[in-house]
Order: sequence, then structure tokens, then C-alpha cells
Amino acid sequence: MQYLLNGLPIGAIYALVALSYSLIYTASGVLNWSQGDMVMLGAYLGFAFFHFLHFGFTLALLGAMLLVGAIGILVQLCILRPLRKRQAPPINVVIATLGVAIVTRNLALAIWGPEAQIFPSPVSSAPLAIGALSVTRQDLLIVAVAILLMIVLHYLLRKTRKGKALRAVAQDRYAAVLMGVDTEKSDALAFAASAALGAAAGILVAPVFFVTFNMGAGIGLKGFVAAVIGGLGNIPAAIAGGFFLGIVESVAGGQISSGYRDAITFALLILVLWLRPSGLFLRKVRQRV
Amino acid sequence: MQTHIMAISGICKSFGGLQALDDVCLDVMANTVHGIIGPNGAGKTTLFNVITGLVPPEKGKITVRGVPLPFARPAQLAPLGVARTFQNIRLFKSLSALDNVLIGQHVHTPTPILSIIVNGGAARRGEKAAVEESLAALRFVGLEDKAGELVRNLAYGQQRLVEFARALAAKPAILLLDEPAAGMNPTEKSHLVQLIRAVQERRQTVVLIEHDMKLVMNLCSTITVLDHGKKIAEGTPDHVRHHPEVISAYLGRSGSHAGSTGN
Amino acid sequence: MAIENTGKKLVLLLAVAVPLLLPLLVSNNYYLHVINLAGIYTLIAIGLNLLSGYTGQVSMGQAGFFALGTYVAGLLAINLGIPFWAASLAAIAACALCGAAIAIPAMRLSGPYLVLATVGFGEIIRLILLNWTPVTRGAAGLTAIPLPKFFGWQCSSEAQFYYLIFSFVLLGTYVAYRLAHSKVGRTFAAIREDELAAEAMGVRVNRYKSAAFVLSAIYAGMAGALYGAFSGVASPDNFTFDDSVAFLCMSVIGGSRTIVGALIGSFMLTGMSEALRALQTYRLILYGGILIFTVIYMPQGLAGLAATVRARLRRTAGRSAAASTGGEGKA
Repeated sequence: MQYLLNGLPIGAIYALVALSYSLIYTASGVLNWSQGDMVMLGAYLGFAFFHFLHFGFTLALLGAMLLVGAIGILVQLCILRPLRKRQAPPINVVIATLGVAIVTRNLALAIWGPEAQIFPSPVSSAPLAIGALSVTRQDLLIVAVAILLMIVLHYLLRKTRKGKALRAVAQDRYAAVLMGVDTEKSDALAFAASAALGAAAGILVAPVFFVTFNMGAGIGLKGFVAAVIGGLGNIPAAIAGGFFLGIVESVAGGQISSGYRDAITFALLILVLWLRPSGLFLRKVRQRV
Repeated sequence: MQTHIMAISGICKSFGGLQALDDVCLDVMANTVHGIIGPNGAGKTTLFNVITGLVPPEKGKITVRGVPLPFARPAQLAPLGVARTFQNIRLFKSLSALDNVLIGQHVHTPTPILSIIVNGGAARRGEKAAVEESLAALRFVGLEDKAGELVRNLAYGQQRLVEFARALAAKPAILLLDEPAAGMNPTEKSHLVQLIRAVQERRQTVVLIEHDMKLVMNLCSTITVLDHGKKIAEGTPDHVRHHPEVISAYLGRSGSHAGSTGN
Repeated sequence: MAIENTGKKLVLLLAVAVPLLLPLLVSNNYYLHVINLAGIYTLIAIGLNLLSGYTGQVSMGQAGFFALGTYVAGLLAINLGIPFWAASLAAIAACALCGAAIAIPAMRLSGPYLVLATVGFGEIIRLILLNWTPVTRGAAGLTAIPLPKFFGWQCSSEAQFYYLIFSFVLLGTYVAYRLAHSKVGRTFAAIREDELAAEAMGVRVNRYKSAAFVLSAIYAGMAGALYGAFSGVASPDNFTFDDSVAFLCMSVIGGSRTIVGALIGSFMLTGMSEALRALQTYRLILYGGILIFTVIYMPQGLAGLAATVRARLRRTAGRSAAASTGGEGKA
């Protein structure tokens, strides 16, 4: 049971990243391999805001989200839009996002150096006791903020015009174009939102992990796995997948072995892909002829 | 003496709540041009999809020359002598016209792996024969000079012809054509009619979905009319043209005046 | 027409002669080492081109097969003293089996699902190699992998390895070229373009996809066996996801839809990697930038660029010839 609780905060992080993948994938069919590096950027920028500009935690969070969101828009405009215009095959788009990942990662290395930065937590990391289990305030913060962001996103997607436009594009791009939706804007928005969410995940996880230029790679991959396990085309499924993965990892790592923990994650992935590729938390998707 | 070449009986298929095909029965006679018409959404393409194994029906049976067709196994249609074209052209876009037609012959050409690797005689002979067949098919539709051209660089009408040639290259007993004239201008259409007649003369059977009434009435010896998944009429063009249910299905416009409504 | 033929023959002659004489021209061992490495990677890239470029099944897990090849051949040589040629065959067989096993679930997947499955495969192999210490020696990896020996001829110098690797590259290129320019290659391409239509033509798509997987695994496995003998050491660190990414980049930048693209891509990327080593971090930033640029502006890779240039030259030549004879211009 303790493992379950331990799995929640990392599950929340995975959920945020998985959500970001799903958001971009449903909106524009793009698989964004640089998602993990947005997380990394969020952590570094948050750290910079916090340390050098002496922002409070909330301000640093918002600042990082805005800045990384802007970077996301830049990537969309300079890279993804030309690719779409030239009807590039999907593999080329994947490679382009890979290129973004490589560039971002090494820029971070060049700017901040190879040593891990330590991001102080805004709340104490002393464990709280809840009955027989223990959590830290840090864990609670991560889960709380993550859930808050998801609720905000949900509201934005359902109630605002831009959000509805995004959902329209996700359902039927061509029809949305015919209805006058500016798909380029909505693509950029989707990308910016994903980047911002990734940045938030980065700041949230920074006090717990080490902040290094490489941290995006692992988190990005796990987040993607979570999105696929949950169900790629669907945001609530991605969130469920994220929490599910976090808990499974925690339990497996605790009960079985921490060395093989990642192997178990991938074995789970392969199992899901084999038996239920549309995702665990998604109704089966039928292919249209 | 007219023989059956394809017998379709009792085909039912629904998608979600929509009954796309409801107990459809059809007999196609050999060496004829058999038309299938009906308003949009009648289930014509779905019927083709069921025949060619892309969509499994819930009920029913189809036999070709007495042999029952397997459902949901599209790759087994070609060896049984059934070839098709698609409503929205499905060519292999970045390949040349010749390559497209060559693939049409897939089941009739051998794949001698070892000979291919060492560039042996068997492989070269096989390839040469296949290329000659394919060029002949392209010649038949009048596009031999475009053999080396990438199909995505060809005009729309030419692409339709390449798809036609590709289906022909498989030397099928039955050719299923899904709206082959869609998007063609009158010259191209009359060319198409000539080609279909020539195919019929070569003792092959053609089943045709079309919206262009003039073309259908002109070419087909038998016409089946579908509406909302059900067969509402069947017979000669004259019979169908004057059939009251057919007329009302097309909203009161008589068959001979309905122009091509396109897609 | 006659000019084209002799031109082609000349190019072919050079293509074989230059590599044959290369070690005599390049005496610098370091350069030869880099060339040898590039040659090994070329094999992986060829297999990847057949799988991803021709058949359209994107794999980001080739490092897994590469690792399997190295470890199977290496362990057999170290533990049982099995000679290189037999160990390589075993490595190839292991990879072929693995490829076939992977193909069964992978065939049903496409797009991001397939990519992820291959990534998962690569990672699982790496983790097994890392954690199954009693067999694979864990993080320490393999050391002292014996040098290849053929009928008493010991292969130890860079130049000798060059000829060994070159022979395999030649063989691999030839076989791949023959396959690609035959019904097999055509069918692969058809599957890439439109699986549904291919099936309608009677193509047994699943069989061909599996074949492509197995082929790519065999190529990577052979490369692995060569790599083990060549470098003498190997550890799970050499076979990470980043390496799979590098192989994919070689395939795409060189031109994934051709066989020669594999050669171009692997030599370009390996050479660039070494040449820019001095720039350190900036090297990778440049690398990423080149990747993005290539994929946007040269989607068919360098090989594709060459083909486009050639086609354009031919068209202008045709146009000027037609103009002078009064024939019809290009539509």
C-alpha cells in the first residue's frame, strides 16, 4: 500500500507528460520526441527564476510555463509547420522532433554545464504520517498541482472557444478547416500547451530528481509509454495511463527488483501493444476502410 | 448459355446501428457487364468491400465459380481471380505507373528468392515476362508512354486508367470497378466505355458501381439497384429505368435524365 | 544512351576499385579506424533502409539487434573458442529468430505504436545485458573478444579489418540491391505506400513485413559480430537508445529509400561525428540542426537529392533536345 502512495507523485508527473503527448498527437498527429526535454527546460528555467530572480515558487512555475510555451510555439512555427506544408512522411516529423530534443538537450548542457543542479523544494520534505503510511508534503504538492493543472486544461478545452476549436481539429481536421478553424493557430496552441505542461512537470519533479541536461530523456520516454498504455488518442486515458504506470513502477520496483524495474515497464508496454494496442483505458478503436 | 460466375446471397452488414447491407442477393453472369447503382449511401461500396474481404459480413455467402469466398482475407481474392479498383484511387503514389501495374500481377509472378539474389536466369526471365505483361496492360489503356512516370505526377483521369490497368494485369475473371468514371470528362468517359467493352470481349466479367446513368445504361446488360442496403430492383437497363421504386429512390428523376452526380 | 552506359560502367568500376585500393592510399590508422566503423554501421543502415525506407516500418530499436549480434558472437568466441565465421552465423541466426519473434506482435502495429514497440525491444535487450550478470558480465561487459582468424590468417590490423568489413559491406550491398530492385523491393514499397491496396493485389502483407524485420535483424546482427571482433570490447553502454537514433538518422539523412543512401548516411554521420569531435557540445547541437534541416528540406535524404538533381538535369537536357527537334515539351 505504501508503494501505491509512493507511486502517486511520479504517476502524476507521468500523467502530465502523457497528457502532453496525447494533446499534440490528437491535435496534429505529431509524435513529439522532445516532450521530455520541455520537462527539462521547465526545471532549469524554474531553477533560474527561483535562484537568480528570486521568484516565489508559484511565480517561477508560471514564468517557466510561459517561457517554455513560447519555445513550443517557436518549434511549431519553424519546424512543424514547414513539415506539414511539404506533406512530410510521419517518420520525418518524428526525426525532426528528435532533432529538437538533441539541440535542446545540448544547449542546456552548454549553458548550464553537466553537473546536476539542486532545486530546493518550496515545502518541507519531512514525511507526514497518515495512519500507517507516510507521505511527504512534496509528494502532496506534486499531485495537487498536477491535478489542478489538469482541471484547468479540462476547463480550457471544454469551455473556451480556442479549446473547442482544438477539439474540433482533433476529431476531424478537414471538417474543422471547412468550418473556418485556423488549424495552424490551434496546432501552435496545442504545442504550446503541451510544452507548458511539460515545464510544469519539470518544476514539480525538480526537487525530487536531480536536474541535469539529460533528465528529459528518461521522463519523456516513460511519459510516452504511459500515454500509449493508457490510450494514445485520448486525454483522460493518458492521465490514467500515467498514474497507472507510476504505481506499477513503484510496486514492481519495490516488490521485484529495482534493477529490472525499467525492463518490467517495457515488458508491460509490449504486453499492452500485443493484447490491447488501443490502450488499457480506451474503448477499442475500429479502423475505417 | 449464360453461366453464373459470382453468386451473392443473403449478405448482411451493419456498422454500429446502421444497417449498411440487408439481405442482399445478386447473381453475376459470366462475360457480362453488371452494374450496381443506387443513391449515395445505398451500400454499394460496402458490398464491394465485403466481396473483396475488407469488411466481414454478419451473414451471407459469396461464391466465385462455385468456390466460396473467404471473408476478411483480402489477400486471397487475387488468386481466386477477383480484382478491383477503388472509389478514391488507391495507387502506390511514389511508384511509377509500370511498378503499380507490376504489383497487380503479384500473385501470378513467381518470387524465386535465390535466383533474385544471384540475378539468375529464372529471376530475369520472370521479371522480363512480368514487365511485358504490364506494358501490354498499359498499352491497352493507352498509357504505355507514361510507364516510367510516377503516378502522383499523372493527371487524375490517367491515374484512374493506371488503376484500371493494374486490376487488368492480374488477368482476373471478375473485375470490380468502383466508380471508375468519377471525375472524368466526356472524352475520357467514352474511352473508358470502349475499354470496358474490350474487356468484356476478352471473356472477362465486369461488375461496375457508377453514378453516371448514361454510362451505366449504355454498357450494362444487367443492373442491380440498391437503396438503404436493400436490393430494390434488378434487370435490364430498360426494366430498371422504368421501375417505380428506382425512380422514387432517386427522388422522382427518371433514370435516363439523371446526369452524373459525381461523388 | 551509349554515353550513359559507359558512364555507369565507369562509376561502377570506380566504386569497386577505389575501396579496394583504399588502405594503400590512406595510411593513417585513425582514419582507417573511422572508415571501418562507418562500414560496420553501413550494414545496420542497409537493413534499416530495407525495413523502414522500403517497407515503411519505422524501427528505433536496431541497437538491440546490434547488441545481440555482438554479445552472441562475442560470448561464443570468448567462452567456447568458437571461430569467427561460426560465431557470426550463430549471431545472425539468433537475430533472425529474434526478429521473427518481434515481427509477430509488431506487424499489427503502425505509427507511434510500432516505434514504441521497437524502442521497448531495444531497451529490454539492453537491460537484460546489463542485469543478467552471470551470463553477460553486466555493466563491465565483454572484454578480450578474440580477433577473427580465417585458415591461419589473423585479422588484427586496421587495414586487415578494412578488407574484412569491406567484403561484408560489398556482399550486404549487393544482396540488398538485388532484393530491392526486384519483385521483393517493389512489394515492400507497395506495403509502405498503401497496405490495403497491396493486400487487394494479393500481397501477403504480414509475411513481407516479417521478412523485412528479419532482414534488418540479420544485417544488424552481422554488424554486431563484426563490431565485437573489431573493437574487442563491448558493454551495454554501447547499445543505447541514442545509438538506435543515430542509426535511424544515418538511414534518413543518407536516403532511406535507396541502398546507396545507407552508405552515404553512415559515412557522413560517422565522419561528421569524428570531425566535429573538437567542438564537443556544439557538435551535437549542430548535429541536431542538420537533422532538422535535412528532414524538412531534403526529405529523401542525400541520395534523394542526388536523384532529384539527376532527374532535373535529364529533363533540361531532354527539353533542349526536344526544342531543337520541335517535339512536345514536358507536360
